[in-house]
Amino acid sequence: MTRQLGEQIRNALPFVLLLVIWEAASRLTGVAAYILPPPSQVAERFVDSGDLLLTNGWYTLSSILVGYAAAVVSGFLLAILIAYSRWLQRLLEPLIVVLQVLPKVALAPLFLIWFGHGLAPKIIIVGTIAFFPILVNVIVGLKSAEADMIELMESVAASKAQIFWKIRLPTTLPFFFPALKMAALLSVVGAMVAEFVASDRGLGYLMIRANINLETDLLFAALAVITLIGLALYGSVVWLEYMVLSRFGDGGSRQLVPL
Amino acid sequence: MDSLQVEPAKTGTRTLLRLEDVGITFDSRVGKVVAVERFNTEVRTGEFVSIVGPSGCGKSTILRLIAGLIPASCGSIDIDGETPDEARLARRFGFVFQQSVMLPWRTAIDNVMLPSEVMAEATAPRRAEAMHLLERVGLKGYENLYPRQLSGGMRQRVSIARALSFKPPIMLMDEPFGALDALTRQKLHHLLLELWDANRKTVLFVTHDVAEAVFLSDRVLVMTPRPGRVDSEIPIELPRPRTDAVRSMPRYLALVDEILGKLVH
Repeated sequence: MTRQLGEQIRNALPFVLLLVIWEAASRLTGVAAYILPPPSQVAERFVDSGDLLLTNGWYTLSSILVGYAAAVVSGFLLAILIAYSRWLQRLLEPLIVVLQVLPKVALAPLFLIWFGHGLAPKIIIVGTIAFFPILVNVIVGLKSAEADMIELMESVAASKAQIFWKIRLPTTLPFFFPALKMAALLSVVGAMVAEFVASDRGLGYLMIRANINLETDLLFAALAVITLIGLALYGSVVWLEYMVLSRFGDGGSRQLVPL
Repeated sequence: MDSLQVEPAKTGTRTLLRLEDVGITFDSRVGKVVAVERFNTEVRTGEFVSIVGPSGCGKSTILRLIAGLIPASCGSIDIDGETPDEARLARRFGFVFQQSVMLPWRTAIDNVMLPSEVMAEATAPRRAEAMHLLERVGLKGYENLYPRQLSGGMRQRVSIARALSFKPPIMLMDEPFGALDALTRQKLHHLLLELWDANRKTVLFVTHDVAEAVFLSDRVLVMTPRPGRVDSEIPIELPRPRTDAVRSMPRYLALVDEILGKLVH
């Protein structure tokens, strides 16, 4: 109990230190608030603009969640098709390599032309950026099962479906979760960029507006919200990994670790 | 109650396995490679036959051909009237690999239960049976450990239990003790012979260890270098049960010498 409390204090320490130094620095140097507002002012603005941050935060969060979920599901399904079909792999492999190298955020202006200014282009940008890590890692994971394990299953006349559920899927998990984490982080980036390019709502839009009006405290408050969204998303994936690998791991004791 | 002793314990005279002019050719970057050529042999029910040969002669390939895991390019394989594929689908083979091939996310007992799970048998009786099998291979009390918590010898015991779990008439063993230390290997020789004695499976045992082959077998097939063929068949008329005393019998040593001589010529 006290040990856990001590742990939490230790985790909070760098943030507290950072805030104290920041507060002291901006007060002592007298730097203008539109350049670097002290944390106390940011906190005040955070509370004052609560509604504004909440509605815009929700808008951004919804594009992140929908785009991310779509990327995970479609990436996983396409990976299964590719892993099981040689000709499909041969057909799509060059395309996947090129698309993977292409910086997906650079597609944002294009998607805005195609899909307008609503939520749709944001979801599509988030989905596109989160899709590739899932696709590539799951293909590798599905193919990583040892040949001996497959032969063992075949020697007892296991069906393709049984081999998939009992061997290929569990061996894919250690490849899948890192991709899931990376895709979560990229989703947040995708949503921000999409809103920077053109939007009349969302945290990205709010930050651009705050930038134009030199409301730097609002900018910091929006930054805090998007960071909290990212943390919540990433934390959920870490928790999911912990739960699943506790069941489908190698029986080793597992800890909830962020990295 | 003892499921391992249900079958009558006597060596049959009936031919169970017949390979005629079996050959296999692989496509490789340097062209076609003939791995096995005109391989002929017969194995009777309950017989313990080992296959020895220089590495790369295709001895493991023979097991995979019999089990229907890879198709033969030519010749015929007959398993009691069935083709390899038919026999595989009828679950006639218990396969033991050189690496124990355990699923790391399953405990020892869940690994033993994998085949019966694949065969969709009811859970409760097969769990009791798996427990009993683990006891038979000397792993009572280890059933809930994961593979990484077991030694190499223990893992191989689990994979033997797994191969026996669905009572296949034929055991195909591909250098199962190759990666183990000498002492563990000897212990497993005794365990294997004890299990074989108790339920008289037909065993086809691939190894590169001539002494091991002589110690365990009724007959040893010596293969030529690639393309692999049967160079000679050596009957091993040593008394059974084979105890450690056999290892110092002159006849045993002479047989080991004879086979080694054939391999180096």
